[in-house]
Amino acid sequence: MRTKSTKNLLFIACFAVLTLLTGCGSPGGTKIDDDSFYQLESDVAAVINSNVADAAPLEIKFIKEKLRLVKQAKADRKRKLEAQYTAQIYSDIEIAKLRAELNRKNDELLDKRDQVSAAQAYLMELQERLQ
Amino acid sequence: MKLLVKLVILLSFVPSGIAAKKNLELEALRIEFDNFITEDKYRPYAKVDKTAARTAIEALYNQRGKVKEHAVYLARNHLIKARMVAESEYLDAQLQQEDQRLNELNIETLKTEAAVARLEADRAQLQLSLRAEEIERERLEKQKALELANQIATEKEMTQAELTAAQEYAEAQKKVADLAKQEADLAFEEIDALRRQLESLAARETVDGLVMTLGDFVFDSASANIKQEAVDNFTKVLDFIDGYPDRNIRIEGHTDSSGSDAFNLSLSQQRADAVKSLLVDHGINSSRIEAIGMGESLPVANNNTEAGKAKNRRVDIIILNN
Repeated sequence: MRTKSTKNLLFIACFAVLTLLTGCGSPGGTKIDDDSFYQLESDVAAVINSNVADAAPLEIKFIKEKLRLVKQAKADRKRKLEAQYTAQIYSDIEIAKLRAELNRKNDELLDKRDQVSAAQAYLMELQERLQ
Repeated sequence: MKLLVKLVILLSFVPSGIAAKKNLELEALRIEFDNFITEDKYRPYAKVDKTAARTAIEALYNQRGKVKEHAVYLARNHLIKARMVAESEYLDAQLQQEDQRLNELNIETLKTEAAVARLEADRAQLQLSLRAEEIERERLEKQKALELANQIATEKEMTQAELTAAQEYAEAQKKVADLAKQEADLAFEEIDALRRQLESLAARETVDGLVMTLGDFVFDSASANIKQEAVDNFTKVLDFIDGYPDRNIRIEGHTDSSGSDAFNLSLSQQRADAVKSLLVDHGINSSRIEAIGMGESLPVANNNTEAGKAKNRRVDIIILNN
Protein backbone atom coordinates (compact mmCIF):
# COMPACT_ATOMS: atom_id res chain seq x y z
CA MET A 1 0.00 0.00 0.00
CA ARG A 2 2.84 2.26 0.81
CA THR A 3 4.62 1.51 -2.38
CA LYS A 4 1.50 2.26 -4.34
CA SER A 5 1.04 5.61 -2.66
CA THR A 6 4.63 6.52 -3.33
CA LYS A 7 4.27 5.71 -7.02
CA ASN A 8 1.14 7.79 -7.28
CA LEU A 9 2.79 10.64 -5.55
CA LEU A 10 5.77 10.44 -7.84
CA PHE A 11 3.55 10.40 -10.93
CA ILE A 12 1.60 13.38 -9.72
CA ALA A 13 4.73 15.30 -8.94
CA CYS A 14 6.18 14.64 -12.42
CA PHE A 15 2.89 15.65 -14.02
CA ALA A 16 2.84 18.87 -12.04
CA VAL A 17 6.39 19.76 -12.97
CA LEU A 18 5.80 19.04 -16.66
CA THR A 19 2.63 21.09 -16.61
CA LEU A 20 4.42 24.01 -15.03
CA LEU A 21 7.26 23.76 -17.50
CA THR A 22 4.80 23.70 -20.40
CA GLY A 23 2.70 26.58 -19.12
CA CYS A 24 5.55 28.83 -18.15
CA GLY A 25 7.71 28.12 -21.22
CA SER A 26 8.24 30.53 -24.05
CA PRO A 27 5.90 29.98 -27.06
CA GLY A 28 8.93 29.95 -29.29
CA GLY A 29 10.70 33.17 -30.15
CA THR A 30 13.37 34.96 -32.04
CA LYS A 31 16.95 34.34 -31.17
CA ILE A 32 18.50 37.52 -29.95
CA ASP A 33 22.11 38.53 -29.81
CA ASP A 34 23.94 41.84 -29.55
CA ASP A 35 23.57 42.62 -33.24
CA SER A 36 19.92 41.67 -33.59
CA PHE A 37 18.69 45.16 -32.79
CA TYR A 38 20.93 46.78 -35.35
CA GLN A 39 19.81 44.32 -37.97
CA LEU A 40 16.22 45.04 -37.03
CA GLU A 41 16.84 48.76 -37.13
CA SER A 42 18.34 48.44 -40.59
CA ASP A 43 15.47 46.32 -41.85
CA VAL A 44 12.92 48.81 -40.49
CA ALA A 45 14.75 51.70 -42.13
CA ALA A 46 14.71 49.85 -45.44
CA VAL A 47 10.94 49.44 -45.19
CA ILE A 48 10.43 53.08 -44.18
CA ASN A 49 12.47 54.22 -47.15
CA SER A 50 10.55 52.01 -49.57
CA ASN A 51 7.14 52.63 -51.12
CA VAL A 52 5.66 50.47 -48.37
CA ALA A 53 5.77 53.49 -46.04
CA ASP A 54 3.31 55.38 -48.22
CA ALA A 55 1.08 52.37 -48.79
CA ALA A 56 0.87 51.26 -45.13
CA PRO A 57 1.40 54.32 -42.92
CA LEU A 58 -0.47 52.88 -39.91
CA GLU A 59 1.62 49.75 -39.83
CA ILE A 60 4.79 51.82 -40.17
CA LYS A 61 3.70 53.95 -37.26
CA PHE A 62 3.25 50.84 -35.05
CA ILE A 63 6.56 49.47 -36.21
CA LYS A 64 8.36 52.68 -35.26
CA GLU A 65 6.71 52.68 -31.83
CA LYS A 66 7.59 49.07 -31.32
CA LEU A 67 11.15 49.69 -32.40
CA ARG A 68 11.46 52.15 -29.55
CA LEU A 69 10.23 49.44 -27.17
CA VAL A 70 12.83 47.06 -28.55
CA LYS A 71 15.47 49.65 -27.98
CA GLN A 72 14.23 50.17 -24.46
CA ALA A 73 14.16 46.43 -23.76
CA LYS A 74 17.65 46.11 -25.12
CA ALA A 75 18.79 48.92 -22.88
CA ASP A 76 17.07 47.26 -19.95
CA ARG A 77 18.68 43.98 -20.95
CA LYS A 78 15.30 42.34 -21.13
CA ARG A 79 16.23 39.83 -23.74
CA LYS A 80 12.96 37.96 -23.77
CA LEU A 81 10.94 41.12 -24.23
CA GLU A 82 13.37 42.31 -26.88
CA ALA A 83 12.96 39.02 -28.72
CA GLN A 84 9.17 39.22 -28.58
CA TYR A 85 9.05 42.76 -29.88
CA THR A 86 11.55 41.91 -32.57
CA ALA A 87 9.40 39.00 -33.71
CA GLN A 88 6.34 41.23 -33.69
CA ILE A 89 8.11 43.90 -35.76
CA TYR A 90 9.17 41.40 -38.38
CA SER A 91 5.62 40.12 -38.50
CA ASP A 92 4.35 43.69 -38.80
CA ILE A 93 6.83 44.37 -41.60
CA GLU A 94 5.50 41.37 -43.43
CA ILE A 95 1.95 42.65 -43.02
CA ALA A 96 2.95 46.15 -44.10
CA LYS A 97 4.49 44.74 -47.24
CA LEU A 98 1.34 42.75 -47.88
CA ARG A 99 -0.73 45.90 -47.34
CA ALA A 100 1.38 47.75 -49.89
CA GLU A 101 1.03 44.85 -52.29
CA LEU A 102 -2.74 44.82 -51.78
CA ASN A 103 -2.96 48.54 -52.40
CA ARG A 104 -0.93 48.19 -55.56
CA LYS A 105 -3.10 45.32 -56.77
CA ASN A 106 -6.27 47.21 -55.93
CA ASP A 107 -5.00 50.19 -57.90
CA GLU A 108 -4.02 47.90 -60.73
CA LEU A 109 -7.43 46.25 -60.67
CA LEU A 110 -9.20 49.62 -60.74
CA ASP A 111 -7.01 50.70 -63.58
CA LYS A 112 -7.68 47.45 -65.40
CA ARG A 113 -11.43 47.82 -64.91
CA ASP A 114 -11.21 51.34 -66.29
CA GLN A 115 -9.44 49.93 -69.31
CA VAL A 116 -12.14 47.28 -69.68
CA SER A 117 -14.87 49.92 -69.43
CA ALA A 118 -13.14 52.11 -71.98
CA ALA A 119 -12.63 49.12 -74.26
CA GLN A 120 -16.30 48.15 -73.90
CA ALA A 121 -17.41 51.70 -74.68
CA TYR A 122 -15.13 51.86 -77.70
CA LEU A 123 -16.35 48.46 -78.89
CA MET A 124 -19.99 49.56 -78.54
CA GLU A 125 -19.22 52.69 -80.53
CA LEU A 126 -17.64 50.56 -83.25
CA GLN A 127 -20.60 48.18 -83.28
CA GLU A 128 -22.99 51.13 -83.60
CA ARG A 129 -20.97 52.34 -86.59
CA LEU A 130 -21.39 48.90 -88.11
CA GLN A 131 -25.19 49.16 -87.95
CA MET B 1 3.08 13.93 4.19
CA LYS B 2 -0.60 14.30 3.43
CA LEU B 3 -0.09 18.03 3.35
CA LEU B 4 2.68 17.62 0.77
CA VAL B 5 0.48 15.46 -1.42
CA LYS B 6 -2.32 17.98 -1.32
CA LEU B 7 0.10 20.77 -2.20
CA VAL B 8 1.50 18.88 -5.19
CA ILE B 9 -1.99 18.09 -6.46
CA LEU B 10 -3.04 21.67 -5.98
CA LEU B 11 0.03 22.93 -7.82
CA SER B 12 -0.57 20.56 -10.74
CA PHE B 13 -4.15 21.71 -11.28
CA VAL B 14 -3.64 25.44 -10.92
CA PRO B 15 -1.86 25.92 -14.33
CA SER B 16 -4.41 23.68 -16.07
CA GLY B 17 -7.18 25.80 -14.70
CA ILE B 18 -5.49 28.93 -15.91
CA ALA B 19 -4.92 27.44 -19.43
CA ALA B 20 -8.51 26.29 -19.65
CA LYS B 21 -9.70 29.75 -18.99
CA LYS B 22 -10.09 31.31 -22.44
CA ASN B 23 -9.74 35.03 -22.43
CA LEU B 24 -12.06 37.04 -24.55
CA GLU B 25 -9.39 38.14 -26.97
CA LEU B 26 -8.54 34.58 -27.83
CA GLU B 27 -12.18 33.77 -28.35
CA ALA B 28 -12.63 36.80 -30.57
CA LEU B 29 -9.62 35.67 -32.56
CA ARG B 30 -11.12 32.23 -33.04
CA ILE B 31 -14.46 33.62 -34.17
CA GLU B 32 -12.67 35.93 -36.54
CA PHE B 33 -10.75 33.01 -37.99
CA ASP B 34 -13.92 30.92 -38.33
CA ASN B 35 -15.64 33.74 -40.19
CA PHE B 36 -12.63 34.11 -42.44
CA ILE B 37 -12.34 30.49 -43.49
CA THR B 38 -16.07 30.20 -44.12
CA GLU B 39 -16.13 33.25 -46.34
CA ASP B 40 -16.83 32.07 -49.89
CA LYS B 41 -14.85 34.86 -51.45
CA TYR B 42 -11.61 33.63 -49.87
CA ARG B 43 -12.36 29.92 -49.79
CA PRO B 44 -9.99 28.85 -52.56
CA TYR B 45 -7.10 31.10 -51.53
CA ALA B 46 -4.23 31.29 -49.02
CA LYS B 47 -4.46 27.67 -47.96
CA VAL B 48 -0.96 27.56 -46.55
CA ASP B 49 -1.43 30.75 -44.57
CA LYS B 50 -4.82 29.59 -43.34
CA THR B 51 -3.20 26.46 -42.04
CA ALA B 52 -0.48 28.51 -40.37
CA ALA B 53 -3.09 30.75 -38.75
CA ARG B 54 -5.13 27.78 -37.60
CA THR B 55 -2.03 26.18 -36.14
CA ALA B 56 -1.12 29.35 -34.32
CA ILE B 57 -4.61 29.76 -32.85
CA GLU B 58 -4.91 26.12 -31.91
CA ALA B 59 -1.53 26.38 -30.25
CA LEU B 60 -2.96 29.16 -28.13
CA TYR B 61 -5.80 26.90 -27.10
CA ASN B 62 -3.43 24.10 -26.33
CA GLN B 63 -1.20 26.27 -24.22
CA ARG B 64 -1.17 25.53 -20.60
CA GLY B 65 -1.23 28.41 -18.29
CA LYS B 66 -1.99 31.98 -19.11
CA VAL B 67 -2.17 32.78 -22.79
CA LYS B 68 0.61 35.20 -23.52
CA GLU B 69 -0.17 38.47 -25.12
CA HIS B 70 2.77 38.06 -27.46
CA ALA B 71 1.53 34.72 -28.72
CA VAL B 72 -1.93 36.16 -29.29
CA TYR B 73 -0.40 39.05 -31.17
CA LEU B 74 1.55 36.76 -33.46
CA ALA B 75 -1.48 34.51 -33.98
CA ARG B 76 -3.55 37.54 -34.91
CA ASN B 77 -0.83 38.58 -37.30
CA HIS B 78 -0.97 35.12 -38.84
CA LEU B 79 -4.68 35.56 -39.31
CA ILE B 80 -4.21 39.05 -40.77
CA LYS B 81 -1.51 37.77 -43.05
CA ALA B 82 -3.71 34.87 -44.18
CA ARG B 83 -6.55 37.28 -44.91
CA MET B 84 -4.22 39.59 -46.83
CA VAL B 85 -2.71 36.75 -48.80
CA ALA B 86 -6.22 35.53 -49.60
CA GLU B 87 -7.20 39.03 -50.65
CA SER B 88 -4.03 39.28 -52.70
CA GLU B 89 -4.72 35.99 -54.45
CA TYR B 90 -8.32 37.03 -54.94
CA LEU B 91 -7.10 40.26 -56.54
CA ASP B 92 -4.70 38.24 -58.69
CA ALA B 93 -7.65 36.17 -59.88
CA GLN B 94 -9.68 39.31 -60.50
CA LEU B 95 -6.78 40.86 -62.40
CA GLN B 96 -6.44 37.71 -64.43
CA GLN B 97 -10.14 37.78 -65.23
CA GLU B 98 -9.98 41.44 -66.17
CA ASP B 99 -6.90 40.78 -68.27
CA GLN B 100 -8.71 37.98 -70.01
CA ARG B 101 -11.77 40.16 -70.47
CA LEU B 102 -9.58 42.98 -71.76
CA ASN B 103 -7.85 40.62 -74.16
CA GLU B 104 -11.19 39.34 -75.41
CA LEU B 105 -12.40 42.90 -75.81
CA ASN B 106 -9.23 43.85 -77.64
CA ILE B 107 -9.61 40.92 -80.00
CA GLU B 108 -13.27 41.75 -80.52
CA THR B 109 -12.32 45.39 -80.99
CA LEU B 110 -9.70 44.49 -83.58
CA LYS B 111 -12.22 42.37 -85.46
CA THR B 112 -14.83 45.10 -85.24
CA GLU B 113 -12.32 47.75 -86.30
CA ALA B 114 -11.47 45.60 -89.30
CA ALA B 115 -15.17 45.23 -90.08
CA VAL B 116 -15.71 48.97 -89.66
CA ALA B 117 -12.70 49.65 -91.88
CA ARG B 118 -14.09 47.31 -94.51
CA LEU B 119 -17.50 48.91 -94.20
CA GLU B 120 -16.06 52.39 -94.46
CA ALA B 121 -13.95 51.31 -97.40
CA ASP B 122 -17.07 49.89 -99.04
CA ARG B 123 -18.93 53.09 -98.28
CA ALA B 124 -16.08 55.17 -99.64
CA GLN B 125 -15.99 53.00 -102.74
CA LEU B 126 -19.72 53.35 -103.12
CA GLN B 127 -19.50 57.10 -102.69
CA LEU B 128 -16.74 57.22 -105.26
CA SER B 129 -18.85 55.18 -107.63
CA LEU B 130 -21.83 57.42 -107.03
CA ARG B 131 -19.68 60.49 -107.51
CA ALA B 132 -18.24 59.04 -110.69
CA GLU B 133 -21.73 58.27 -111.92
CA GLU B 134 -22.83 61.75 -111.00
CA ILE B 135 -19.87 63.26 -112.83
CA GLU B 136 -20.58 61.05 -115.84
CA ARG B 137 -24.23 62.03 -115.73
CA GLU B 138 -23.33 65.70 -115.49
CA ARG B 139 -20.89 65.25 -118.35
CA LEU B 140 -23.53 63.56 -120.45
CA GLU B 141 -26.04 66.25 -119.59
CA LYS B 142 -23.53 68.94 -120.52
CA GLN B 143 -22.68 67.08 -123.70
CA LYS B 144 -26.36 66.72 -124.51
CA ALA B 145 -26.95 70.38 -123.75
CA LEU B 146 -23.97 71.29 -125.91
CA GLU B 147 -25.23 69.09 -128.71
CA LEU B 148 -28.66 70.62 -128.34
CA ALA B 149 -27.16 74.09 -128.39
CA ASN B 150 -25.11 73.17 -131.43
CA GLN B 151 -28.17 71.67 -133.04
CA ILE B 152 -30.19 74.79 -132.30
CA ALA B 153 -27.35 76.95 -133.57
CA THR B 154 -27.03 74.78 -136.66
CA GLU B 155 -30.76 74.88 -137.18
CA LYS B 156 -30.69 78.61 -136.74
CA GLU B 157 -27.81 78.84 -139.14
CA MET B 158 -29.59 76.49 -141.50
CA THR B 159 -32.78 78.39 -141.08
CA GLN B 160 -30.92 81.59 -141.68
CA ALA B 161 -29.17 80.06 -144.66
CA GLU B 162 -32.41 78.59 -145.91
CA LEU B 163 -34.11 81.89 -145.31
CA THR B 164 -31.34 83.70 -147.13
CA ALA B 165 -31.47 81.14 -149.92
CA ALA B 166 -35.23 81.38 -150.05
CA GLN B 167 -34.98 85.13 -150.08
CA GLU B 168 -32.35 84.95 -152.77
CA TYR B 169 -34.45 82.41 -154.62
CA ALA B 170 -37.52 84.55 -154.18
CA GLU B 171 -35.59 87.55 -155.34
CA ALA B 172 -34.27 85.56 -158.27
CA GLN B 173 -37.73 84.29 -158.99
CA LYS B 174 -38.98 87.78 -158.68
CA LYS B 175 -36.32 88.93 -161.09
CA VAL B 176 -37.20 86.06 -163.38
CA ALA B 177 -40.83 86.93 -163.04
CA ASP B 178 -40.03 90.56 -163.63
CA LEU B 179 -37.96 89.63 -166.60
CA ALA B 180 -40.67 87.28 -167.80
CA LYS B 181 -43.19 90.00 -167.26
CA GLN B 182 -40.97 92.45 -169.04
CA GLU B 183 -40.46 89.93 -171.79
CA ALA B 184 -44.15 89.23 -171.85
CA ASP B 185 -44.86 92.90 -171.88
CA LEU B 186 -42.35 93.32 -174.61
CA ALA B 187 -43.80 90.36 -176.43
CA PHE B 188 -47.28 91.71 -176.02
CA GLU B 189 -46.08 95.06 -177.12
CA GLU B 190 -44.31 93.46 -180.03
CA ILE B 191 -47.32 91.38 -180.92
CA ASP B 192 -49.49 94.36 -180.56
CA ALA B 193 -47.12 96.39 -182.67
CA LEU B 194 -46.93 93.56 -185.19
CA ARG B 195 -50.69 93.27 -185.24
CA ARG B 196 -51.03 97.02 -185.65
CA GLN B 197 -48.37 97.02 -188.37
CA LEU B 198 -50.05 94.18 -190.17
CA GLU B 199 -53.42 95.83 -189.82
CA SER B 200 -52.01 99.07 -191.03
CA LEU B 201 -50.53 97.46 -194.11
CA ALA B 202 -51.59 99.36 -197.16
CA ALA B 203 -51.17 98.55 -200.77
CA ARG B 204 -49.63 101.02 -203.15
CA GLU B 205 -49.91 101.18 -206.89
CA THR B 206 -46.70 100.60 -208.86
CA VAL B 207 -45.82 99.91 -212.44
CA ASP B 208 -45.81 96.17 -211.86
CA GLY B 209 -49.01 96.16 -209.92
CA LEU B 210 -50.35 96.59 -206.38
CA VAL B 211 -47.60 96.19 -203.83
CA MET B 212 -48.00 95.35 -200.14
CA THR B 213 -44.74 95.50 -198.19
CA LEU B 214 -44.07 93.36 -195.13
CA GLY B 215 -41.44 94.90 -192.88
CA ASP B 216 -38.66 92.86 -191.32
CA PHE B 217 -40.69 92.71 -188.10
CA VAL B 218 -42.49 89.75 -189.66
CA PHE B 219 -39.30 87.62 -189.44
CA ASP B 220 -37.04 86.59 -186.68
CA SER B 221 -33.81 88.49 -186.74
CA ALA B 222 -31.42 87.36 -189.50
CA SER B 223 -33.76 84.45 -190.20
CA ALA B 224 -36.36 83.41 -192.73
CA ASN B 225 -38.65 82.15 -190.01
CA ILE B 226 -41.96 84.02 -189.92
CA LYS B 227 -43.02 84.90 -186.40
CA GLN B 228 -46.01 82.97 -185.10
CA GLU B 229 -47.70 86.18 -184.14
CA ALA B 230 -47.33 87.39 -187.74
CA VAL B 231 -48.79 84.16 -188.99
CA ASP B 232 -51.73 84.56 -186.59
CA ASN B 233 -52.35 88.09 -187.83
CA PHE B 234 -51.87 87.50 -191.53
CA THR B 235 -55.56 88.11 -192.29
CA LYS B 236 -55.02 91.57 -193.81
CA VAL B 237 -52.49 90.16 -196.29
CA LEU B 238 -54.76 87.28 -197.23
CA ASP B 239 -57.73 89.62 -197.62
CA PHE B 240 -55.57 91.80 -199.85
CA ILE B 241 -54.66 88.81 -202.06
CA ASP B 242 -58.16 87.40 -202.04
CA GLY B 243 -59.32 90.66 -203.59
CA TYR B 244 -57.46 89.75 -206.77
CA PRO B 245 -58.00 86.05 -207.36
CA ASP B 246 -57.19 86.16 -211.05
CA ARG B 247 -53.84 87.81 -210.78
CA ASN B 248 -50.46 86.21 -210.29
CA ILE B 249 -48.35 87.12 -207.38
CA ARG B 250 -44.67 87.89 -207.16
CA ILE B 251 -42.99 87.86 -203.85
CA GLU B 252 -39.70 89.74 -203.64
CA GLY B 253 -37.33 89.43 -200.72
CA HIS B 254 -34.99 92.38 -199.93
CA THR B 255 -32.28 92.98 -197.33
CA ASP B 256 -30.16 95.87 -196.16
CA SER B 257 -26.49 96.14 -197.02
CA SER B 258 -25.18 94.50 -193.84
CA GLY B 259 -23.46 91.21 -194.47
CA SER B 260 -22.20 89.71 -197.71
CA ASP B 261 -24.13 89.85 -200.94
CA ALA B 262 -24.45 86.09 -201.07
CA PHE B 263 -25.80 85.94 -197.57
CA ASN B 264 -28.23 88.75 -198.26
CA LEU B 265 -29.33 87.14 -201.50
CA SER B 266 -29.88 83.82 -199.83
CA LEU B 267 -31.70 85.35 -196.88
CA SER B 268 -33.97 87.38 -199.17
CA GLN B 269 -34.80 84.30 -201.22
CA GLN B 270 -35.55 82.26 -198.13
CA ARG B 271 -37.82 84.92 -196.76
CA ALA B 272 -39.67 85.19 -200.10
CA ASP B 273 -40.08 81.42 -200.11
CA ALA B 274 -41.35 81.46 -196.56
CA VAL B 275 -44.07 83.97 -197.41
CA LYS B 276 -44.99 81.95 -200.50
CA SER B 277 -45.24 78.82 -198.39
CA LEU B 278 -47.44 80.60 -195.90
CA LEU B 279 -49.76 81.79 -198.66
CA VAL B 280 -49.94 78.32 -200.10
CA ASP B 281 -50.79 77.03 -196.64
CA HIS B 282 -53.71 79.43 -196.62
CA GLY B 283 -55.11 77.95 -199.85
CA ILE B 284 -53.55 80.13 -202.50
CA ASN B 285 -52.48 78.22 -205.55
CA SER B 286 -48.74 78.01 -205.71
CA SER B 287 -48.77 78.31 -209.49
CA ARG B 288 -49.87 81.91 -209.06
CA ILE B 289 -46.92 82.72 -206.85
CA GLU B 290 -43.36 83.52 -207.77
CA ALA B 291 -40.83 84.01 -205.01
CA ILE B 292 -37.64 85.93 -205.83
CA GLY B 293 -34.74 86.91 -203.57
CA MET B 294 -33.42 90.32 -204.57
CA GLY B 295 -30.75 90.69 -201.93
CA GLU B 296 -29.61 94.22 -201.22
CA SER B 297 -29.94 95.27 -204.86
CA LEU B 298 -33.10 97.35 -204.58
CA PRO B 299 -32.95 99.49 -201.49
CA VAL B 300 -35.77 101.91 -200.80
CA ALA B 301 -33.84 103.90 -198.21
CA ASN B 302 -30.33 104.86 -197.20
CA ASN B 303 -28.43 101.91 -195.73
CA ASN B 304 -26.22 104.29 -193.70
CA THR B 305 -28.89 104.69 -191.02
CA GLU B 306 -30.66 102.15 -188.92
CA ALA B 307 -33.99 103.51 -189.96
CA GLY B 308 -32.99 103.20 -193.59
CA LYS B 309 -31.74 99.68 -193.11
CA ALA B 310 -35.00 98.74 -191.39
CA LYS B 311 -36.94 100.01 -194.39
CA ASN B 312 -34.71 98.10 -196.80
CA ARG B 313 -35.29 94.78 -194.92
CA ARG B 314 -38.68 93.87 -196.41
CA VAL B 315 -40.73 91.46 -198.46
CA ASP B 316 -42.90 92.92 -201.19
CA ILE B 317 -46.06 91.07 -202.22
CA ILE B 318 -46.94 92.29 -205.65
CA ILE B 319 -50.33 91.63 -207.26
CA LEU B 320 -49.11 91.68 -210.80
CA ASN B 321 -51.01 93.53 -213.46
CA ASN B 322 -52.31 91.23 -216.16
